[in-house]
Amino acid sequence: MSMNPKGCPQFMILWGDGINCENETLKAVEEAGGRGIKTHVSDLVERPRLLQEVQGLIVPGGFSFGDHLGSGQILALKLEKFVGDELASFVKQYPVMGICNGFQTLVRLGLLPDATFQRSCSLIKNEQGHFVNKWVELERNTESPCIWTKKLPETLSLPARHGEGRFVCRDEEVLFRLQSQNQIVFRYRENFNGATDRIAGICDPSGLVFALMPHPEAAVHEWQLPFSGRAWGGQFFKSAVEYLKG
Amino acid sequence: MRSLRFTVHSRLDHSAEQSLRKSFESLGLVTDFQLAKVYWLIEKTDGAFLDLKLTEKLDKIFYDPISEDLQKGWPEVKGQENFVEIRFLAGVTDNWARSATEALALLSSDPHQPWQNFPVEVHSGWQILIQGDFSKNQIEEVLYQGFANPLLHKLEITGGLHSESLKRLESFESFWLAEQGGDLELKLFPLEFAALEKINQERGLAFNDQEIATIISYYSSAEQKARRQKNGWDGWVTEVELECLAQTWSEHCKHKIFAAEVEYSEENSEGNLHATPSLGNKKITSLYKSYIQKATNELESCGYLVSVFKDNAGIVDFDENINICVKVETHNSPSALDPFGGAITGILGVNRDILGCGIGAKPIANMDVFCLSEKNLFPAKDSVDRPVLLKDPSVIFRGVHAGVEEGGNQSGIPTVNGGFYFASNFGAKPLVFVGSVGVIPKIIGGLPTELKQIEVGDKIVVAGGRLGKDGVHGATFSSLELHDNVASNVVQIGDSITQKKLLDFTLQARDLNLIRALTDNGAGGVSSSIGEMATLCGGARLDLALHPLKYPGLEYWEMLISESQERMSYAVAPENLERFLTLAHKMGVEATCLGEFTQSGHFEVMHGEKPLALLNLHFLHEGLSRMQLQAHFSGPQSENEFYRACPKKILGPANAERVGEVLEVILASANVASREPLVRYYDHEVQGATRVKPYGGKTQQGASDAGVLELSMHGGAEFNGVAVSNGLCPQFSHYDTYLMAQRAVDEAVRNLVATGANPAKMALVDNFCWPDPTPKKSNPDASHKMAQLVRACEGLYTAAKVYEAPLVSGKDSMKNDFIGKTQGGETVKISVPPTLLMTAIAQVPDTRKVIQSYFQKPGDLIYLLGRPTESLFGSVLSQEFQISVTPPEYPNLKDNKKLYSQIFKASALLASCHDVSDGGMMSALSEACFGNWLGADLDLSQCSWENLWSETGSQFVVSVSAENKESFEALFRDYAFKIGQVTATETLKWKFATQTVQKDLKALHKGWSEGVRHVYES
Repeated sequence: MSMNPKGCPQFMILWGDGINCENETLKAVEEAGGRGIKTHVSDLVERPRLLQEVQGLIVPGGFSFGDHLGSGQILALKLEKFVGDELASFVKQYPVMGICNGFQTLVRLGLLPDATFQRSCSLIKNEQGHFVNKWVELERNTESPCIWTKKLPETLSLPARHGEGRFVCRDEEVLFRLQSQNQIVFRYRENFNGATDRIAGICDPSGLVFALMPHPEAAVHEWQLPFSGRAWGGQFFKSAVEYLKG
Repeated sequence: MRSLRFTVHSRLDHSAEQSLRKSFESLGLVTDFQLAKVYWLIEKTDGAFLDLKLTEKLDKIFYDPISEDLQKGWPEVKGQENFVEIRFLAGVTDNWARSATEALALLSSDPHQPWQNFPVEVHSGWQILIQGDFSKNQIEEVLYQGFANPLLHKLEITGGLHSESLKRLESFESFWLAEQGGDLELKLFPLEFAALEKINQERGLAFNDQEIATIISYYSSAEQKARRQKNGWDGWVTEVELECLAQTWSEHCKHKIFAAEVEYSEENSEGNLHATPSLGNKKITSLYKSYIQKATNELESCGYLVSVFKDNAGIVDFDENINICVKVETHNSPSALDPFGGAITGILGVNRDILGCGIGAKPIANMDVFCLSEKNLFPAKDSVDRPVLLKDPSVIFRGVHAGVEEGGNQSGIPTVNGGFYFASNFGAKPLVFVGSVGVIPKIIGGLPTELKQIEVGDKIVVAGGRLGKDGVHGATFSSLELHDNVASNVVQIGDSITQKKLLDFTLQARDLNLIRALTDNGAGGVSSSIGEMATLCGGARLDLALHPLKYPGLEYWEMLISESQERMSYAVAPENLERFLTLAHKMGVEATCLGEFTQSGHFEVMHGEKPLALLNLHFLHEGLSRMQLQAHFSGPQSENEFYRACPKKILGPANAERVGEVLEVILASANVASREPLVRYYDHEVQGATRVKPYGGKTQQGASDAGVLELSMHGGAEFNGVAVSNGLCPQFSHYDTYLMAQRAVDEAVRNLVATGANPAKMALVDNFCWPDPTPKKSNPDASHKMAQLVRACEGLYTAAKVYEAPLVSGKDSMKNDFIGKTQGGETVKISVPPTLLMTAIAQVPDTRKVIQSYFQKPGDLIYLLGRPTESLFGSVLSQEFQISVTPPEYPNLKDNKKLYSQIFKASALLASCHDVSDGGMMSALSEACFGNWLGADLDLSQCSWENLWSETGSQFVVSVSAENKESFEALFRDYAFKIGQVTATETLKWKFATQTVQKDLKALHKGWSEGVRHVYES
């Protein structure tokens, strides 16, 4: 595993094409002891081998291509066409995280719930039919193999900020598999958007590829909370850094 | 040529379908209903579908097999079913289609070609199947209530799909064909008054007589004649020149009323019951220079003003690393026609103002304030009083709300502050204020970033969206009153994602030192942006033939003044041009070099080799003669409310019981009820820097007074912040706008102070929205409205001076009137009340000391800070109940200033601090309970009934922990009135007169938290 001289894991943070949480994600990674490299989607498309220079990948939140034709749809098409092969091998070795629009993109790419480029789940419009920005309480599945969440408590608060975050599965079988393999990493304590089984975040069976709707990168400092409490967002990135450091 | 039509329908999400179905069900029985997205694909070159293997790719691009169905061709339509297609009119921006084309291009064999040249044309729209007995008119009526807009969409409605209608619908290929306007022609107009006046009327150019005379005399001079001879224009003005002058000289761009020479006089107020401050009769040359600029000049010694009034936004120094920019705009006229489009282009436009500030700033926060009518204050659908042309207030509300939501959220800019204000006279022209705050590093490439410098030979580059007919005449249109004959092309569609790419690109180019100067293409299009930038070096030559077009058929003048959105203009040094263009292309932004900056003293517009306009820069920008206006203040007037359905309630005798009853009504009233259900639609914490969010506390329902942003997230110093707030008090305008303006300033400042911001480091932005104050037949009281403007300026000036808060940016919108017919055939005129929105920003030097607006813990003591007032003038109590009111108290600005700086110094002593505004003290106290769900035990026996509801004071509700009691009381001896204690009881309890009464927080909270939902729905 090639890390930079200081032994500090490097994370590629995608931006451009309507992604809009790249700066706070970068800060969160760096504060967690990782090194963040902001990479424009067009740069990655031009040089897919850039992925070989990093040990982690984060697809941040935003509105890639305006969510037209479905959230994450066009970004997923673009990544699959130009970076598909490189992604296929990357996700087998390194931590990958999708936040909000990044979750939608990974699901459309078919990298979640299984890193096979086959779609079996979707994130559709919230039950209430519109965007909602609200801090929500999450329950963590401590049995999950997810490497991004090892250091987190069983419940925590994060800001949810999405209009299309209602998780659905193609069929009962997919859901059953998610449940039985502990791929459901987070559930909403209160099912605010109508998600199947209150699902807020999932991982692939290896635990390397993980995504969630709420935003850990906006819950790194206590002052970011709208009420008194602890900020757990930084721990997601710390978990990944520690995993990579071994 | 082949073509294809298919629909996409969600199997799982029916939210939009359900809400539309509900609207139909209010008219009759609906047994089945389906709403589906439609796509039309048309080959531009033969064989494109085949080359693309299109049919294989539909699945990948256009739908999600997990949750949606894709159906090619036509649906089966049963007996009574109505079939509806909603298409965009030709030339209207279709964002979904644009993204789909981009996706198709990505999957083609040449994925790097510009999507605009792609050989397949895509259109998107909706298909609706309605099983039920509805007439065509009924269907149109429902769909035009917000789902579609006749200015943008074509509705195809057929009862069933019989062969005849199918035949028409199937030949959709020709529907979007652009007019092939023959050869382009440059019209020349003779320099004769009658001829030019005719063109002025026909085209809505908004010139007045004097301006036409100025144009004639200028172009008739010997010098001009000689210069123009070589183009054959001697004795003529070209169409392009005339249009360019109309844009540049429009009230919207030139602020002629604020620059006018004004003769002010007033009724002698002696012996008058109303003691409005006398200004004395006087002559004022330019209200802008005499009040607004003057206040700022006199406050320049504050030391933190970096750039004021001259740029797209004001720039101040609140941080050691970065400067702060602030700008607020209005988008009233566009929002009246197309509320969604008007609001979204408004917010995107003000973001571009920030982007175009200095050499490019980054927007970090948005705010928006809407002044609208509501159900009870607007005639019902079937009423004879209902103005025929006006949109229902609920349609305007939903549109503007959705527009700001989409514009802000998709751009990744948090909406941190704002408001909704409801009054009947906003029923015709809604006021839509959109603001933005930005940051810019102080130095880039060794140069101060606020400096725009253009050298002769620098290239003119335009980047972003292409040119279309959208937004042609926006600047001149908004300089006229709203009337029946509005051309559809003044409506603009926003495209957040094109703008987001433009924003990313511009900041990248800035950091690489590729930009010398830039500005937004807003009102007037390139005619304004390049016309203005040209003054920085003394000339510009522009070739319109180089500007990419959305479709053919634009006239020369349309190219010059089109307000097609999401475009910026740049000055780029010739040696950087290639890098600039390459970077743009890589980041998915179309950028084109259109010419260069010169020192000719002229703005020269060409189309290829053909000259179109030769405009002397001095004449273009300074040629306008000053308007002369009369202003006479006739004293306070009675409120002239356009409409009210239910009369105000009767108020019983004042006692402790009554306090509770009245409080419930007030908390649930339109102007007090919580905006939280609406604000949750906006992303208020993207970028991760929003420290004080619109609603906070354990319940996330504690209403904050101001938004606070942590600047360290944007390159600023650690724990340094900026607070943003607004003040708006049009309820005082009919009494005295001097008072209205001071109250607006005071409210904005109070909000900052309550949050812990430093009142010694503030900056203000003024936005005036006025009824037309210029004389004409339809405007008999013009001189009073002009006097109201003078008095507002005077009030603003005084308040800014006393508070030592310089004005750094501002804008005015002076034609907020409507004249039209009611359904009963009467002519009605509706004008907005004179309205001044004050936006204030201030530094929060230690963000760890910000103060929340809601109570923090049981046992804390509750005080009222600031002197209680008696007048109920303009109060929510007086809007809800029939009461008589005494004249309003005027704020004691000097006293307030002392109190505010005291609060800042003592912020560590305050557990919470909440501004007393709409609804008065009782509603402020209730709101302070809701944030952390704490109760209060109050002793109001020293308060008069009026004290509880008056809104003419400058007060705060604060809570202080018991251990700070002594130091607090010692510091605030003259200002603090102890009124009770925070409790853990979930009740609000008060002693008033001699009686003690209590209410469950739940009961008070219910009306407050749900009230806003009842503004439009029963």
